[in-house]
Amino acid sequence: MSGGRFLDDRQRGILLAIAGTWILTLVVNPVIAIIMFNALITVIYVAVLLYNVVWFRHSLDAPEILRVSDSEAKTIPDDELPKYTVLVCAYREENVIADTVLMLELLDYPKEKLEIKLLLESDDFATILAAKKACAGKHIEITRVPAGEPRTKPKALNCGWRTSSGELVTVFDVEDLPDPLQLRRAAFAFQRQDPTVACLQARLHYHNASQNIITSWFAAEYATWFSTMLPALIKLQSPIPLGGTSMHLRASALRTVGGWDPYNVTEDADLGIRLHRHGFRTLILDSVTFEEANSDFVNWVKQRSRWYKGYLQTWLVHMRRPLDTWRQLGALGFVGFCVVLGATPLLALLNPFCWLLVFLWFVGRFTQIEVVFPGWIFYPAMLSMFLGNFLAIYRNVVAMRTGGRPQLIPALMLYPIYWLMMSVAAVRAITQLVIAPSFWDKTVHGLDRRRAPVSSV
Amino acid sequence: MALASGFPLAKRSEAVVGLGLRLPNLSETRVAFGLCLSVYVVVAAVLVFIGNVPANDGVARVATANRILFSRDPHLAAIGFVWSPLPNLVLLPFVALKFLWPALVRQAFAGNLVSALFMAGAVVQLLRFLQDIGLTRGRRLALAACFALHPMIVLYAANSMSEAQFLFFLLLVVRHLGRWLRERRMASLVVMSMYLALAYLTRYEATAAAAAVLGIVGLATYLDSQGAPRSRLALAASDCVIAVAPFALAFVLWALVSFVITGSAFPQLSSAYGNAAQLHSLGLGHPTLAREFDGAVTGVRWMLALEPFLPLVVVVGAIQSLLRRDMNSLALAAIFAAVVTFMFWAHTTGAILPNLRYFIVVIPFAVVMAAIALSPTQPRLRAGSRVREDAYASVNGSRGSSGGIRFRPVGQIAFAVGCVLLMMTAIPAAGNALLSNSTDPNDAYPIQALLTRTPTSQQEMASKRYLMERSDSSYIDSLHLPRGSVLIDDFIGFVIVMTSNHPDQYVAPSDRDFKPVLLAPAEFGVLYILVPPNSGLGSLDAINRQYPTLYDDGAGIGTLVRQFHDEGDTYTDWRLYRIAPQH
Repeated sequence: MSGGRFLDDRQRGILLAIAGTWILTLVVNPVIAIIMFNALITVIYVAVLLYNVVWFRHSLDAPEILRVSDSEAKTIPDDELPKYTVLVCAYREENVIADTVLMLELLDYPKEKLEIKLLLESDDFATILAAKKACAGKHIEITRVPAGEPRTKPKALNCGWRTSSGELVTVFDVEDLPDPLQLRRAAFAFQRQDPTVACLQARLHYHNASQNIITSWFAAEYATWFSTMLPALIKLQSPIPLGGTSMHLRASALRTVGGWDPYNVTEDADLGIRLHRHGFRTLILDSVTFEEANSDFVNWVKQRSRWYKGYLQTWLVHMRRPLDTWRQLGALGFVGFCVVLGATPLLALLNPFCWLLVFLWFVGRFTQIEVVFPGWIFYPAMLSMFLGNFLAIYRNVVAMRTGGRPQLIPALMLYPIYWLMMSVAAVRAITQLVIAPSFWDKTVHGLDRRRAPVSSV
Repeated sequence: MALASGFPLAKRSEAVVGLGLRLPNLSETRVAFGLCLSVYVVVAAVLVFIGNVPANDGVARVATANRILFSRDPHLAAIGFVWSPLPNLVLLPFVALKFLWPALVRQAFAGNLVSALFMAGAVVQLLRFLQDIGLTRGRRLALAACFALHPMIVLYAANSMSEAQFLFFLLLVVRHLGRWLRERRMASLVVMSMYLALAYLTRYEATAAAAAVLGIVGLATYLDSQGAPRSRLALAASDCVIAVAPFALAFVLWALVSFVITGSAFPQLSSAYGNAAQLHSLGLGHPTLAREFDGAVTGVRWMLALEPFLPLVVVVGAIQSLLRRDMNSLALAAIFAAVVTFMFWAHTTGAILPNLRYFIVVIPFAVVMAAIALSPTQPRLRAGSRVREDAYASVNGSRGSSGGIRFRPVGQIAFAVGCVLLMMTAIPAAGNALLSNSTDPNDAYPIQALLTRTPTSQQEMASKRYLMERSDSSYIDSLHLPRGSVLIDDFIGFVIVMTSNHPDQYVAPSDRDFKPVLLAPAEFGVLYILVPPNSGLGSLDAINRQYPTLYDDGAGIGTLVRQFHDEGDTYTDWRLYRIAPQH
């Protein structure tokens, strides 16, 4: 199953039937139609809120994160280490590719066991040239990805891993600064875990949190996600959307699920779901990869809208046979899958609309709104709005405190502005999903003015 | 509730009952809960069905829940905004069952059941707290009994007031804050903060507890963390935010909801029915210095009536804590102390009606102080408890094991027995206070009437409260009137509407069309108006405010049909006026 098409025929049919019925109702009795719509979104909001409360409660207990100490990581003798493939995709990255090569050189893993593939688009001559210069004499192989649509990261990744020979595979982005011991830690953890654990996701952190308010929000969001929410999601037996970089995979499992979906713009999220559907598990590895947080508004919106588009794409793809997905993920996992991948972009889209309604009703005194919000919708809707928004900030505050970054808490008080940015991204995502589902909105890297030193966290 | 999951249950195998008979699946706390609940419900049944000892506010809450579900205009906003919302909300499922057992609403027994449940829950929370601080079973059961069997606690478990609910949440706050202080697990702090918010939605005096929590959490984190003062301050501030943010949300939200619906953010202070208006109507508006002094004296007298040895246990408990350098226990006691102090201040300055029940928190306060005095120097670890050895080490420090007043084993037992006996004196003392005319005449008379064979006229009258309203209501039911035909302000007349088989025949201020109906009753099909005398609390009645002379002369819109004579001691002789029909 691939996300090359926005909807399959059956989904299109169901969606058209629902939309048709609703429009018909709207013509016959607009009030009933709007009440139906409001009831539906309220049910979604309340369900998501309830899930989030349980999720939050689970995130408070000691997170299930695999810890591998430095000494443990170094215990496996070099000749017993599994062969490791590192895939790095780059497109129009001629300015940063030299830094990337330096970063890859720092990885602590025996050369004979390490296969590093730099995946470059074959018509991206500038990057190829720069990479050739930087890689001269280094243990890095340049692979040219044939040009042609879809021009996406997953296509390049597939191109890379199909010709690779590692037992373990990982992916890094060009601007990443992974913990140098990460590969050894992952190898050690894989050795200790049973074969159903097919994927270890390292934690992603931003090194430029203090650059501006956007990076503060972004850093807080990421720290909350990787340190508390993802581990709790695993406890809730939900499939987890992987992080796009620093996820470590068993090549055999990757083969079983058939690699990446070249049409999906969040191939990482999709891969996480597919692994879970095949009965594999993902765990979080306590090793940090530093990334550059997007500091520029436009660039941030582009990146976020690609994520949302990809989430929806992934959700729709796996909803083509919802019963199969349900059976494979289990009831709990299915709910988690819908909340995380379906509801996240959908609610980002609906939120500003709901806030506007509340504003019009409360400040503008548009009492006509009450007609389409009878009590049984109004009270749950209001409650979920206040509690949901509160919880969304509160859990970040708690995560910043437990993660030892209280300096990010003040920025969280302005978090609703960040939500508005998410909404802008959601609108863009939905539009793109319909017009150009597989168009990859490239994120510009190198906007942080300085590079943080590589640290071994 | 999801938030409460994951806490260790008490050991189940501990239950040993009577003659060495072992009952499976009965933990100490479950037995305590079952026993307390049974006692409280029996007492409640005696109060309601035998003695007619109604608690005004408790009955009013059932009336409110009934109004939300079954009035002419059922809607949640009819909840009323003078009192906190949670006690009304928890009644809704019970009131909804009135078709199964009408007494739940007609006699307002739903309220008594709820208060009994919460008080039994409070006993359980207290037991768990005593367990948490390491009290041996004999001691904790004895102290829990001092609480559970305290006459004031029994009465407020049975009489449907919101005190039980408040104590329940307050004890949860104290227990989870205690866990956080010992273990510093974030989950405890977050759970505590949720209960603090619920406590505020139950009674406003939780604000004092919130202030205490803020201070304790800030100080504890600051003193416990390392690094530069600036970073310690940042950590302390973030813990404070986590601890009180849900409380702040509850506070703001309730103010906002009140504002949207009533136009005032704090109607409990400013409304026509609010605290200030009630005090004013009872002639208690502006206290003089002399009256404040009197208030202070009564306050102290009442606290001592509830817990005669309060000062002693506070001093002994505090000395024990200080000698052991165990600031945590003292911090927890400070939460109760904060609420007691706040109520004492409010009582002294005349900000609240003088009432013994506002001092109910001195009871858990005294019990907890006694527990601190009796707690072992090195708390015993409970099996299955998550309490870590090193957590205690950090609490007590290296000095921990040597501090405290120490006795030999026999002396220890004697000390414990002595403490418990001191606490037990509260039972006769408070029983006496509750029955004394000078302490709390309002509540004392009907209980006296219940306990005596030859009641005085005053006791007799007190035991007839609301009987007139009930007969009033059945008379109106017997007229078989259509929907919306009787205009009433059920602020005072709540029993009339609540007891009715057809509450929808009344038009009341919570109906969203009340104002136009009040201005032109006949136009909206109102046939009758019910009014209380325009004096005392009756002057707050919306109908009296609109038609000040209606009660006396019909105000030109109605003719007197009937006067209902109140044989109770509230002297509210309601009058029923018939409205001249509109032509």
